[in-house]
Amino acid sequence: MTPSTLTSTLQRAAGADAPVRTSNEELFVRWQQHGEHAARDELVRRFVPLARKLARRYNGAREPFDDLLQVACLGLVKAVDRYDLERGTAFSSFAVPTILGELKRYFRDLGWAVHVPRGAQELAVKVEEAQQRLATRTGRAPTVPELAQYLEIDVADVLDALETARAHHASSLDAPHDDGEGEGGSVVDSFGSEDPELLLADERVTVDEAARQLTDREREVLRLRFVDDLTQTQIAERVGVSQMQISRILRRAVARLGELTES
Amino acid sequence: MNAADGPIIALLLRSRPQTLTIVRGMLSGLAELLEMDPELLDDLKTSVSEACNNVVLHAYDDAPGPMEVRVYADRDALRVTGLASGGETAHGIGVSVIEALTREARFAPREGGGTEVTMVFDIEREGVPLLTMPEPAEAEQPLTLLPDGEIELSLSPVSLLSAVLGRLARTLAAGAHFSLDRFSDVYLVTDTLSAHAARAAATNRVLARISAAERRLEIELGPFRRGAGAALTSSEGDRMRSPLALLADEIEVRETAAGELVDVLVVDHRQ
Repeated sequence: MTPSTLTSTLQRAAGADAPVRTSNEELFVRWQQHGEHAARDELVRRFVPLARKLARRYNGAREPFDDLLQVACLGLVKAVDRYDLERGTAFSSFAVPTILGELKRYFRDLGWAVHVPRGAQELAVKVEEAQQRLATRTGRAPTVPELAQYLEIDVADVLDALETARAHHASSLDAPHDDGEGEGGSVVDSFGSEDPELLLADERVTVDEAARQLTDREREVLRLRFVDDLTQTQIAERVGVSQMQISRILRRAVARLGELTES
Repeated sequence: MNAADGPIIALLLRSRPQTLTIVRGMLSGLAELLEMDPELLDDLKTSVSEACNNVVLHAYDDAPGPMEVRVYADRDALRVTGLASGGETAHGIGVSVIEALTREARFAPREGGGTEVTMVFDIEREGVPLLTMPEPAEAEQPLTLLPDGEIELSLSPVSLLSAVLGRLARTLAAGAHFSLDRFSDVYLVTDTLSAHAARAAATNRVLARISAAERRLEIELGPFRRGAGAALTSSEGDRMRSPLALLADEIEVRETAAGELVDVLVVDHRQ
């Protein structure tokens, strides 16, 4: 869209009356399926406050606020055009990253180092997918710079996405383990191995309650990692989940074991 | 604010392009722990990035130079200072971005050259707190100038360590081309070290030094109470080997005047 069309869209939008409150959904159908420009104008008008809010966060920089607002509105119009009703996501959650993306691109073109946060969740999913694709291609886990290059984003964004992904609690894959024998397991038992490397021979730490709280899956993953010394990617293949999932399982299990042996 | 309160976080590093990623990671870690409002975090990151950019781009003419970032939790504000010991830093569009995003921004020349920037952020909006303020920090101990390639962290209270150490270590591990397999082990290493600090730190301030080289990451952390390190290395005692012993390539516990220091080396041995 050229700036002049954008301006006229905005002008029309600003001047438009809204006699009856039509639902956003209906407006999207009217614009996207029937090409009704009035519906598009109304949508833009409704969401201009959102664009203004996002633009305001970068106000005070060299460029006048009007320019920032125009960039944000350009992003908004793009979002209106690209929004897919069928996907079932709210328009605002689709529009925010699009508008921020437009602002970010604008700053980048000016050579500014303004960092706009991305849709963290969305990026986390992309990173996880990329990780699996690269691992399949090369047969080993990729590095963070490799992921950044593959996704054409900053290393910092990959790191943020990885943190976001790991912050999620692993879904409960298994019920807590309880073999019902009422016998306290040692840490070694919980690893499923008698490897003497894993503890100091005589004084086994009994971790009855807590060891039982480790799930079968956690136990298996701990064993594969620490006894069989497989990489997380290898474990992921064997267990049939993603490396990220393995990382979460390990982190949770190790934290739990730490709590046990501490007290 | 109690004038004696030190910064909750002091970070000393060499300015270089990666600096920005390191500092932003530190802020994200802190934000996560303090349940910081996302807009405040954006403002913090953007302002601090601009301040760092000025240093990276201008202060040292593209050559890495020492830089310090400190975060203070004042009674009614979050205060961040950035310090570079060379060049002119208070110019460019970064300044107007910083001024727009902070309650107050000051640029002061520093004795012996360089500029100190002080950025003050509101911690509440319309009466609603934007973060959980940490308990008061202990007084700061001096940081030493580091050899190339290392960052030094001073942090108080110790409860902040888990979020911050992990982010810093992983940022360096990423830059050192760790594969995600080994990168993920760094979570376990920093989690374990943070848990150790929570129960065995000698005071409520800890110091960490993190160094990275290609596929190598080294973390030194302390001071800890004497004798505490045995729990990590299992050289004696009656506990299971700590996850650290299973994950690290080397663990060394050293005695210093202030207490024990733990030195952990993690190497990515992939073929």
